[in-house]
Amino acid sequence: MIAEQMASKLRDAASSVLEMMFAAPVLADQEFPPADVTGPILVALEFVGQVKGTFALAAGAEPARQLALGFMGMNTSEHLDRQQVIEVLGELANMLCGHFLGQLNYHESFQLSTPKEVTLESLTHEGHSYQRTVHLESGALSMQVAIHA
Amino acid sequence: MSLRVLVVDDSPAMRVLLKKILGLSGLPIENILDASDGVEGLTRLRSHPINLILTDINMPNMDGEEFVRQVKADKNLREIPVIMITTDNSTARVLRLRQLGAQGYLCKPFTPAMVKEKVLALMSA
Repeated sequence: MIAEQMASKLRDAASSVLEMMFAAPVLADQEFPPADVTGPILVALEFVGQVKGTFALAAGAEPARQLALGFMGMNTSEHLDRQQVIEVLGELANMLCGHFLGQLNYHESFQLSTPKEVTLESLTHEGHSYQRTVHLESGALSMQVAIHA
Repeated sequence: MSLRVLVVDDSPAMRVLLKKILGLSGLPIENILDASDGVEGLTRLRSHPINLILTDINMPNMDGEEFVRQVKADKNLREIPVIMITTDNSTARVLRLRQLGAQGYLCKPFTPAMVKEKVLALMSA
């Protein structure tokens, strides 16, 4: 039950953030893991507050590029280098994590670390983790939140 | 009144976005400068005539809370209105931002209209 609620909150966070700031409505969502993703970009950040943990976000190279273009208000034909795409994906992870934590009704404030590109192997799996994949017009975006304490 | 804005955020993408939103807002913008953390923000403020600050909170070197604390402690800067940008709209955070002396806060995610509304509210206060 808790897992379902958490997954639902992840989806709600994705809908709000992606529609408001990336002009990328969520078309559908499903459980993690996503469909096959080519050349995924993975970013993660840590949060500390009433609970602490890790929030990770993964997207294929093309959906990540499309999200970055949408965020920066650029045309689809314009060029963005990989670092710029990672920065935008990191900003998206920051907003998704903040929105997700905001839905948990904690009274204390929280701190988010600067998002960084990570490898799948480096992600921690301690504590309880919850995942959700959302589908956008440009492809899939997967979120995982691991709550350590 | 023409606005000379300082945007402080460690995310280059967010700085680009905020500058674009402000530039297209229809607000009377004269100039927009940016800085990547509080240290750089203070340097900009001491060398340019800024009359509105938009700042992130979580930043390396000097975070947004310390930056605003130092702005409000400086008699030459303390009158500049500050809007803090946060992903955390918990009661504790909002209370702390008010105690710091920030005149407003903007919670991410936001739309261009929300940014404009916040700036207009501050200008007419």
